[in-house]
Amino acid sequence: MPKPVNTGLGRVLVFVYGLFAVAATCRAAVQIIMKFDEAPVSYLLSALAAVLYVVATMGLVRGDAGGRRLAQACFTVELVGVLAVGTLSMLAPQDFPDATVWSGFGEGYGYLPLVLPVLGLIWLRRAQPVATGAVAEDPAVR
Amino acid sequence: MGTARAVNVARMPAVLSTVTTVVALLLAAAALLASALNRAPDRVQFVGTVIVSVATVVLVGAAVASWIGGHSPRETTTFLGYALTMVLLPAGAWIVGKMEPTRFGSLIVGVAALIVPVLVLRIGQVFGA
Repeated sequence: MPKPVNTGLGRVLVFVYGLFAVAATCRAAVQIIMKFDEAPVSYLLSALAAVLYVVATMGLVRGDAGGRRLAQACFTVELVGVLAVGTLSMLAPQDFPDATVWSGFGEGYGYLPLVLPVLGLIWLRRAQPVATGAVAEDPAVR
Repeated sequence: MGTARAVNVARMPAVLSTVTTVVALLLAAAALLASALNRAPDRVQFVGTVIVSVATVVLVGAAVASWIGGHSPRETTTFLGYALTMVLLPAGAWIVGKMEPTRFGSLIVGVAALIVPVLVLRIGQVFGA
């Protein structure tokens, strides 16, 4: 039985993702405006993370087939990003003079940047109807 | 008299930080327990949200007061961002939590209440209190 993406645990994800979207956007904006030259790579990564959080939140809120695909894509990129940046920040800390959201696998944010995309992907999988891609009208099922 | 006032201003946020942290953790405990017991956001969580909101407003007010008194934050923009987030977060979580009248609504209130102590810590760091 298909479950709506944006209620239940999905609503918790929307809330936390929304919070991350606001926090990451503000942080990246402050970093880029105030001190971009200090660590351009870190700050651009922060900005990328912020965009992903915003788009993922929008996808979750929409909750239809397109929104779900959007959120799924964002979660995947996030997961790859946090794993890659986390590993790189361990191996080559000199390339990251200032921390990003994803540094050290998101340790500055209680590892939520690592946990959230995993949780999100699991949630989308569980909330997905059995026939993959066949159902386009989830909100109606509510 | 000048020193007495300075001591007052410098100490007040420390007490208020502790109070805010404690009430936020109590709210988190109540909300997460409610979520575990499969209960939607209830009156206890509402009262808790009001108390935590008041505590954050008083804390930020005290910080701003000592700012006016000459102790400016180390990073002004970041401080303002955290302060605004902390004041709005509990009420925002309550509103979203009420939209979800299941255990997950309580989970939202609980998660937000857990974030408040983190914000209190970060505000202390950027304020340099």
